[in-house]
Amino acid sequence: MKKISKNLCMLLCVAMIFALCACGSKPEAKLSAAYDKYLAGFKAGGANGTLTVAMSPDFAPMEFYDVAKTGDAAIVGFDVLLANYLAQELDMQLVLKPMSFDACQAAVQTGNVDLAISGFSWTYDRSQNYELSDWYVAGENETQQSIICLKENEGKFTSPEDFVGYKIGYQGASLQQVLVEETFGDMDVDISLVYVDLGTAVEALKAKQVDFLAVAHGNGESIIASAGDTIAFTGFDFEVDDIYKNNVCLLQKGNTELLEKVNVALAKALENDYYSGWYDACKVYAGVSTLDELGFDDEGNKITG
Amino acid sequence: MTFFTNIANIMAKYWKVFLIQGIGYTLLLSVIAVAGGAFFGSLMALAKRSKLRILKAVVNVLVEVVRGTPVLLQLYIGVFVFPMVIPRLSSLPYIYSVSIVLIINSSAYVSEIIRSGIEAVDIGQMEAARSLGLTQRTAMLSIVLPQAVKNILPALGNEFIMVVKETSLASTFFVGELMTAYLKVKGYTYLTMECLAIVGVLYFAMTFILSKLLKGMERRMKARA
Repeated sequence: MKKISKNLCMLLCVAMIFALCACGSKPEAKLSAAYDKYLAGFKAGGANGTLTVAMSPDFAPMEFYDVAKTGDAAIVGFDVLLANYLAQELDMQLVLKPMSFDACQAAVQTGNVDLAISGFSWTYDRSQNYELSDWYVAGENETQQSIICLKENEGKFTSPEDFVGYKIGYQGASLQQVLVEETFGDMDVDISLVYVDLGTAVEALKAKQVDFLAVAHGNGESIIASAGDTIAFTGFDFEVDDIYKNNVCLLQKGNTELLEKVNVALAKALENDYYSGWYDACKVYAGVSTLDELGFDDEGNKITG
Repeated sequence: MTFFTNIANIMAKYWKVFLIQGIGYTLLLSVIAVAGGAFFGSLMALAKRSKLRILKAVVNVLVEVVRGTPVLLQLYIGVFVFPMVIPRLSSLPYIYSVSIVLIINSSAYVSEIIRSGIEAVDIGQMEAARSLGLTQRTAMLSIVLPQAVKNILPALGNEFIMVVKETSLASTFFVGELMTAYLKVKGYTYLTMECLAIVGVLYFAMTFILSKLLKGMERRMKARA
């Protein structure tokens, strides 16, 4: 009898998990409409072989997973549009290789992939060890670099001096690390808290282990949208040098042939102003903004004028 | 309370990612690793007992290196260096390289399990069999090994449970197992603790059920002996 009840208990546990899921998934307003439109616009299946691109899809709205889709198509976001665009311009077939942010750099360095496109910022050290493409810009995701905090501190911290005596956290090896060190390095601010990923950092913020987090503005919006009423912008924005404002693609050192082609394609995208439309579509997709707010109609067409 | 409503919402929307993909790939990788590990591990255990000095040395070095370095590091090497040696791998998804690494890793541990299992059988058993006129080979196969299996199987089961947890490191390459499911959902929702809680419960459920099954098997084996 004892054995039966034990087994029953276990079964119940499993059943409960399934019951939780069975609560049903309701169809939602199609957030991906504008994004899908852009993606469908790219010519796929080039004749010049494959273009393998590494990215770390845990970073909405730049690159993240849409679990409703399958295979390669499940990886979505701004950098995916860019990768598709580059494949089209180079007349190559795109293969996405998802991996962690660290691994992306290792993959390029070992020649395992042709490109890493994962919201990389230009930094001096990177430029020494990789070929970096010309810049591309994902809306204000990188041009505006902010600090977020718990809701109760919203708007109270606006100048660097306000942060004296507090702890500011950031993601390791990121642009935010560079900015925090440049801005607060000489001041009496505790900048020793480095996080492997933003999600962990946000939990630390919620648990009050850290007072502030330095984030790219776009990521900050995603975080705030998910956290509901608990997190807000401090009102402080970093002064960002022009070289940091944009993202670059990473290539293996010495791969100048591909670098030139990529740069030609990037110049064309900049000239034709593709970036802002892509970024808006991805912001809608990531749930940061609505179609309406950014001037799309329900089918995902950009309303101009 | 929002914590639990968040979990319910996440599960309602992403249950397939966690339960089907996540658990599916975790178990698949674990089975591949342990089955491959049991096969190559047995060969390695044999090699360790062989009279060929070189073979013995090579296997010993391999086992020591594999057991003395972190799995995560081995995965990096597997994914980025193996394709340079075996070009065919570079056009395949990372799960192939990851599987190979897990098999190698698991073989090293299994070979040790088998070696210690055989050594745990009293030497008198072998001596008695030999003095009764059995050949070395028959004595090994019909006297020592059947007794060794009883020592080996429970440890092999534990290895399986260890591997279930170790596969989580493969999430560095987004191969689809449970920890990848966590990364996927967390990356979109930025709800880290909720996703971790879900994955934690699922890992525990898997290892708990597995260890109960193994206990049952052990009991039956004891009853038969």
